Amino acid sequence: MKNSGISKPTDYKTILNEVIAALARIIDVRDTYTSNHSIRVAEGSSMLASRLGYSKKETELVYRAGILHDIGKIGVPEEIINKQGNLSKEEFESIKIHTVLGYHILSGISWDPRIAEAAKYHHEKYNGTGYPNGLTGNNIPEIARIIALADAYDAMSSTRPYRTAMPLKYIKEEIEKNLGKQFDPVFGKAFIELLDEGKLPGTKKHQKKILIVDDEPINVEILKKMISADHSLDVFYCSTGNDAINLVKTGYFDLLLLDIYMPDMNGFEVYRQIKKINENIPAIFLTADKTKNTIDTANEFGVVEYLTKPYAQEIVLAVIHAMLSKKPHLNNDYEIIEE
Amino acid sequence: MLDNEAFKIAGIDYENGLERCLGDESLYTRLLGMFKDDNAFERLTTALDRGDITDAFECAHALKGVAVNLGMNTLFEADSELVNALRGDGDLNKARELYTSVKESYSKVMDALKYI
Repeated sequence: MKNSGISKPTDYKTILNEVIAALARIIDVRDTYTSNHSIRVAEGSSMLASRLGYSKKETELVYRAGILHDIGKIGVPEEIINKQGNLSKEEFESIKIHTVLGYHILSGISWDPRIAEAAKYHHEKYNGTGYPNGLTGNNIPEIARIIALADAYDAMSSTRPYRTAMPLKYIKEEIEKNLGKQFDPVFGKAFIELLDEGKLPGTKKHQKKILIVDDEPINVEILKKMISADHSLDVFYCSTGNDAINLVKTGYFDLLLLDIYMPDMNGFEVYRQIKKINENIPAIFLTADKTKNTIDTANEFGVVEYLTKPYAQEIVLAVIHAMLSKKPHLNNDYEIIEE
Repeated sequence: MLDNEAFKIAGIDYENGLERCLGDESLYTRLLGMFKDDNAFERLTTALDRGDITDAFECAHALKGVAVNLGMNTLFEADSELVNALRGDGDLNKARELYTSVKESYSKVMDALKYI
């Protein structure tokens, strides 16, 4: 079997998509507590764009701009980005710089200047109290007004080191209160519609479904505890390979955590059979075994990640998010470059 | 309340085990209770008596994963050596020898857990 089983792309569109996704991961990896923030903002922004009647191609542009909107954070010191607690005035000033830095990083992309504009203006507020330039109303580029909503929504709906995710009802009220103040009133109303419909990332429907397959209940309990602390993930488990195969048939799960040694069949065999049902479902193997032989076998099955015991929560969550974000995000039906 | 002194004697790293449970003491206690009821060690014993290397390997391996997750370091170390001896074709004589120290660590752990 080939490693990963996915053939290497040769067309420039796919390559560009992968490069953009890799750039997004650079940002998200640095910002420990907001893993996959860029991707969720891209998803929320493009949903809003589509709701506002944007064409497919324009929606795709919004997605890309959403993915890259925070790239300027690369120039902000890590200890400030990950600081728990209130920022001093100076620290806040240095965070603000990420908008301008992002603009200059992205302004080299000549095929659409709006990608750079989105990075620069996504913290502007409709009433002119935002940064970096204090633009008002329709002077703020449309794409930045869209991303501002998805960005604020994701900040509120994600769990941070100093607080858990806020309830949807509260988030909705916050957006409503700020129509015409922080947010574009028309775009804001459309965004609330999406929120009401449960279509936004971070809502229960959009939680990623993780299936643990392990016959050892103690280890399952520990993993459940670690994973369920992350509100973007919903965790399920079963204890036999056969159950896992039947559960995957439902098409409900986004990621498997597979124990290697189980009584009915080993994890590798389970995954081999599961791949026949759903070729693309990623898996992370669970093992107390760190021998090269086991790791090589995992690689042969196209498994690029495994977790060793004892589990550490940071590593468990980082690996899960990394595997989830490996799934292709960008739809190749779209043309990137204007003809 | 868990007995820290007894844990030390049994080679259980309380802080470490609790960390696996994200500081949730009631979860840790519950999982230690599950460990007490688990029969992997008994199955390991009978598998070795029978000379069933495959079964012994699976039991020792399961025990190893749970032990390390619960912070039972001494048991984990002893059991890891046993797992290695049972790997592949396995060396039954060596395994039986190593089993003695697994048994010893296991008894100490069970002793520390008797009030749970």
